[in-house]
Amino acid sequence: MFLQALILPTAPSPLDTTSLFREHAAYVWRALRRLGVREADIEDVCQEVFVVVHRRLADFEGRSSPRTWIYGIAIRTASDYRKRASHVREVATATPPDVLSRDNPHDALSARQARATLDRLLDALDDDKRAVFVLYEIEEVPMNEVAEAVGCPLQTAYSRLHAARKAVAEGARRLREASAAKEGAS
Amino acid sequence: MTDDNPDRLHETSEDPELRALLGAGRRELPDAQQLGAVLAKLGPTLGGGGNPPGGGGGVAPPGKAAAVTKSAWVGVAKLAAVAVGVGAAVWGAQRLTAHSDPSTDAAVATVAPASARAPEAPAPPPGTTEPAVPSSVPSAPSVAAKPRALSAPSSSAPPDPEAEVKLVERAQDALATDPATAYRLAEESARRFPHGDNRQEAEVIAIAALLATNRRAAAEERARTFRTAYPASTHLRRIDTLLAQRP
Repeated sequence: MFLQALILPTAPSPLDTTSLFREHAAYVWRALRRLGVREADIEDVCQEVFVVVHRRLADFEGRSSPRTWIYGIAIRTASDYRKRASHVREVATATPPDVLSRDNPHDALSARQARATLDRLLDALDDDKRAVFVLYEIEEVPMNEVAEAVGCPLQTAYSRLHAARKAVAEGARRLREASAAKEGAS
Repeated sequence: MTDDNPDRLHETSEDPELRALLGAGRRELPDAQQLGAVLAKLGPTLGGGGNPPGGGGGVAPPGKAAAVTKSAWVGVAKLAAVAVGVGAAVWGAQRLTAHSDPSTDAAVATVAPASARAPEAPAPPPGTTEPAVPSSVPSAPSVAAKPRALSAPSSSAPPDPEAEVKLVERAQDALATDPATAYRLAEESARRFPHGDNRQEAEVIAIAALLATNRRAAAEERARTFRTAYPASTHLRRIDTLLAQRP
């Protein structure tokens, strides 16, 4: 009975904005957050992405997957957002001065604190590296699609990922050292 | 797809704190209410029903999003109701790559009643008899269980969503260091919560654990079963990546 519904093949979704929203909006939302869109603005920016999707859908030629195409739109929308000086200022001041705990991260870091710390590390990346890092490490997009989404050669995407990983790891290390120093001083 | 994709840091980084940070970033997904709010804002753009674009007529430029929102109040309640259903479906589907916080679970459970998932629970077409179930589909009980997104409306709530989330999180956490335990926990989750929201997530953890313990044949079999059971799952890409990463 229910198993029938489960196993019946799902017809391919028609390529309309509502279907694309249903399939991709949650991921777009998450990507936008990691690309620096503030929580207070996320609904509007996510809306902007799908307004663009809707407007350009007739021109979508299917050279890439819809997912890659939408991520590309999200990256550009987030980049525009970050360039707005007011947002940049607000992001900078809104980021709490989190430090990494040396305790069990699962116990010591609340999800919100952890995300704020992660975003602080990501804020240190330039837009190009951040986009590659977010798509690959957070969204788990394969590298060939990452390169398509950001519009660069595959090897360039690899280089950006490598540099971003190095910077993020180094940033995490510095935060940990700062935390240790703070605990030692207290 | 099988291009060289290095292991993701959230699974393989030697820095547990960095893994935790990335995991937290991956888990921040919108709930049904949040997605519903966006969809409600998009209502005027989509013509209230997500019609295919007709050359862009009537589409507000992105910079005018707020203005669009202000003009969207007529029918917003109706759209929001639809949106909650959409959000619930999306939310249910995306749980695999990002097991969520218990707090988020509670919020979603509140706004996504079973009735809101009705559009995602297609009944077999009238007159349909036994579906063409491939004979090769293994009868793995873990996958034969019906995901909640495809469930008919039910008055019985999941037994303990928070316990399910915690169990799957424990399985996920164990995956990097103790895949045998991860597999056991994933199996336990499948057994205790056959209709749970994290059903697919537990299944992928089991597949990853099988690969990590050099049981590739079993992993591939399980992946095939998953693909048959969840042909539209957004988590298939994750499974493909896992299979490609571990020859």
